[in-house]
Amino acid sequence: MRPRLVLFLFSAVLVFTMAACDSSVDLLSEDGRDLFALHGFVNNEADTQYVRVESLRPLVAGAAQGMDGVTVRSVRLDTGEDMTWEYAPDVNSTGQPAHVFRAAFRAVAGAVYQIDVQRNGVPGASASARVPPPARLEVSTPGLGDENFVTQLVTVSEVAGSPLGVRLVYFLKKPGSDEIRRLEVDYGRPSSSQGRFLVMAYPSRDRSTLMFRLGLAPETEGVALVGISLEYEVLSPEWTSQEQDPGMSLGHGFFAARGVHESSWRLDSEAVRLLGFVDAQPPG
Amino acid sequence: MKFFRTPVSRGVVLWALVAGCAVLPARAQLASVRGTVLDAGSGEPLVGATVSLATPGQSRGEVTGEDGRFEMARIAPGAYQLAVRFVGFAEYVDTLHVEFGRSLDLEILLRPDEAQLEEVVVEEERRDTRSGAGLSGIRLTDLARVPMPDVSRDLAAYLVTIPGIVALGDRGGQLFVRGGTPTQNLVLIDGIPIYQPFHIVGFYSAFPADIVAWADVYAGGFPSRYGGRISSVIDIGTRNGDKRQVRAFGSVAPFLSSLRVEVPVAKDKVSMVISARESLIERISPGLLGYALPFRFGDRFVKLHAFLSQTSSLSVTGLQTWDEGDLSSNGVSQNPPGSPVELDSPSSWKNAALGYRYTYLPPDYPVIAQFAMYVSRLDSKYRPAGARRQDASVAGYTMEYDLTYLYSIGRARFGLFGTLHRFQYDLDNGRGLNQSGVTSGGVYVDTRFEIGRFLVIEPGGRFESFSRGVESSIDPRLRASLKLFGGRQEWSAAWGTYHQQFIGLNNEQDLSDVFTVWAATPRDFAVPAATHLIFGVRNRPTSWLEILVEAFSKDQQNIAFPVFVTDPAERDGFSRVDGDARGVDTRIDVARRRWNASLGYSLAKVEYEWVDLQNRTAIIPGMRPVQVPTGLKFHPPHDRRHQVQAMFQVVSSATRVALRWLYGSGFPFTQVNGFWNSYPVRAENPDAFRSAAGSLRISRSHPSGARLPAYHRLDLSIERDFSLAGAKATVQAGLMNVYDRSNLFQYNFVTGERIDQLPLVPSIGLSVGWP
Repeated sequence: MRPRLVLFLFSAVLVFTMAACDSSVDLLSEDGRDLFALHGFVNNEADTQYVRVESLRPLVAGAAQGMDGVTVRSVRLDTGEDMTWEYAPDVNSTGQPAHVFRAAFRAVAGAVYQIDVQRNGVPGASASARVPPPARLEVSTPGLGDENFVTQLVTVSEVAGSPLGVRLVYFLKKPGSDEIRRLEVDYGRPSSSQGRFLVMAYPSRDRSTLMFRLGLAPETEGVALVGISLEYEVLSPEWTSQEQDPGMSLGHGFFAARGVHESSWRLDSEAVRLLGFVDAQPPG
Repeated sequence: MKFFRTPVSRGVVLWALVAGCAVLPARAQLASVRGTVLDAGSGEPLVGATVSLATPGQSRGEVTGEDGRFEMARIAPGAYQLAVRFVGFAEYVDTLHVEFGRSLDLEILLRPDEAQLEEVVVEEERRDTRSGAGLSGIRLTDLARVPMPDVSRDLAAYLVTIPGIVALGDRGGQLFVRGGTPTQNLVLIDGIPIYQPFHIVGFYSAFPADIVAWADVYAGGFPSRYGGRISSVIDIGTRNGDKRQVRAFGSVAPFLSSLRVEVPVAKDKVSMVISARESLIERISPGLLGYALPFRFGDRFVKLHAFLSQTSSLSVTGLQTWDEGDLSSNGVSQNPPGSPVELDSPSSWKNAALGYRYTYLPPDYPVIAQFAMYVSRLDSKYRPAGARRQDASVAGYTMEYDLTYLYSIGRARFGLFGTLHRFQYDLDNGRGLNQSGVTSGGVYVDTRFEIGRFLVIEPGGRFESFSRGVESSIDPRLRASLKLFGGRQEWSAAWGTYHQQFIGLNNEQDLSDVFTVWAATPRDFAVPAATHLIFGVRNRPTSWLEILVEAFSKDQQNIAFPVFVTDPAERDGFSRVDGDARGVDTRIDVARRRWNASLGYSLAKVEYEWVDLQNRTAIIPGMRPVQVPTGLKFHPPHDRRHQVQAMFQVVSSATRVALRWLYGSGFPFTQVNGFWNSYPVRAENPDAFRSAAGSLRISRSHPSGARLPAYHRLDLSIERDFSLAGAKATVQAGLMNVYDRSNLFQYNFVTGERIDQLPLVPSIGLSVGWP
């Protein structure tokens, strides 16, 4: 081989390369252009449900596309009942539009809701969550101590999620009144393990709070206990998920469910007496 | 028996056993011939000289090692012709009379062959180069074949021309070797591990080329004397310096200027090499190029070498490097041309290394004993745009003791080693400062059997016990070569298993991220491991043509791989993957008297797999573990499928013209779907998300689902030697990226700014050497 031949080969490769190669790069994926981010949850406590929706934007600083052609629909999977959500724009704290959709329904405990976002029929986000159903309560025999001290252990099991808040609810009637007052005493956020948590109720400790809220002196007699129950909120597993987009099967964001439940029981008559209340609970 | 429970003590016992076995047979030798090959002019040892001892009908050969020493044992009594050859020197021939039971100790002085020096005979060089499966031996003269923006040479630019080695380009200085990542490469300079061996400008390694005496690059299948990394080894030996007269060399060029001095501290006994380099480009670029190149880097090197006696030597090597600059800057300066660049230095790192090696040849045994200690440290800092600084450092302490026993059909090397590493990093992610340390110790056996003239088998093994991860590992290694057709064709193979106790984490999804966090392997996880298999054939049909084809497989397990998180403010988490790399490297070399050319092509495929959701999530202190889909396969961002390199050099009496063209198919990258805001949906405040401002998130597509545009570049340089006031001078002019290709270096997803590699860069340089 001669140097001139090698140089020729070099030049040929060079010209070919310069002509053939494009140095531009397409950073945006074709697949991602129709995606949406969705945030929200359904719960069985409110009559109106809300989600916030926005389409992905190609630039950080750029504005996302508006909501033209966007539909948000939900379907309750066990019954097939579907619903179209209404666009109800809001404004965020910086004055930017917040694309909120709402639907007037109360979620049903135990039901799975799937929500889909589409623009002109092209799927952009999809998510689902199950509203945590009521758990199982086991109430132990009250502990009756000296000086009218009453405690009762409540075991809550088969909890489909993580408990958020627990409240002990007393239904009371003031002396000489037929009005039943519902009074809640906050028992905080219990820690759960394997779908189970415990609540130690202290009715004798709660009594002074209740009497105060009834506007009665602590030593007042004749207050009737009509009922007692435990109200608890359970968050679906998406709230505690380590995944990047909990609840989402398409698109980004967060979708979950919240269930609020209440279970009552009959407090032992001797315990009611020790608490200084009149036992007006329905017969067990 | 507590003694046996520690890694080092187990190693001591094993080493004692193997070393004892090695020394005992030495007493049964017939005779031995050994000596040192020196440059008659400077007294400097010549590394890599070929020494042959021949009688009619048979011949034995040896290549001089460090300190220019060679030794041939178990020589039968008789008359032999001794011949010593080295490129650029006249052949030395003598007749030896070997007597029974005697040991001859020779000092051979080679004189420069002026005819050869004037016309570099490349074909002779290549014949002397060490080679084998996965191994490329590099000589200083090879480096001249690569155009540089600088009159001095550099190893980094040459390494990229070796098939199977993938580089990012001219920024960042990261090398990916046959599917391995930069932190899986072991880079040694005089035995000292260097953690960040390349400067911030990819043309330059962390040490000057003119101090390099030899360099062995194992792209895989490396022998058992090397450990601690699972991909490749770059083993560099430096020059010992002139022991007879003072020599000085200086160069000035836009990118880098250098000064080297060699001083005979004690004539023929002790020499010192001092080298310093410092970049000028950050000061010159605004005026020269019209825009700023915000890089500042340099290095200092010192080596002291002493022959303590006829049978012992000592060398001490020190290296200090520094780099700083903004890799993610386009260098578009708002300053008027000529004004200095204000470096904001988002990236910086400093290497500091010190080591010494003592070599002893017992007078009555065909044994070479070496004891060495090394200390090496790397401090890195990185400040992403708009964020606070992240810091990481690693310090390594190594002690080695090895014996090389020479016998009639080969040699055996037994080594004992212990290491201690300290890691420290603070990623400014609220997880605080993390500190950890690991130790390891073990032994290795590295043998070589020359069966007949054409078959060489090199079995070996390495036992290492770790304080983290797996308790210990036994790594068998095997290398072999068979020469056919009178040596014109050589088949070679290498196989071995490898373990790496600690890991270097950089954002491999972003190849331009050079900030490396070295850390101990997470507790309760197996250390990264690999199995290499290489088959190659090297053909030399004529004296001026060489054709190399090599196929490789590199399977890796337990690799820490970054996983993108959606929050751009958080450094990515890490997960564990297994990977495999397969490929074929080919090269054709033509070496004529006045010109030489080389054409290489590499075909490779690298694939990673997230194997198990739970068990492969790396719990690295201070970093976020991220769970990823099980079984997802993808090509990591360094999977360059095709790479072509072509070099051409024309050499006349005093002028050299060098051309190099590089082509690399595009790296995989992960496309962006878009950006969105995350809103806090909280059950405690259920309405807040409807009007909250939100925080930025990035949506990414399938990992490495797309490829960047191809990389290619043509470089050209012309050099001419002349005399200047009694000194040898060289003037060089060069053009980097001759056709001004816009090669992508980095794309900032957040700002939308594209960062390209260097555009067309002209350079001119001058070097002067005395005498």
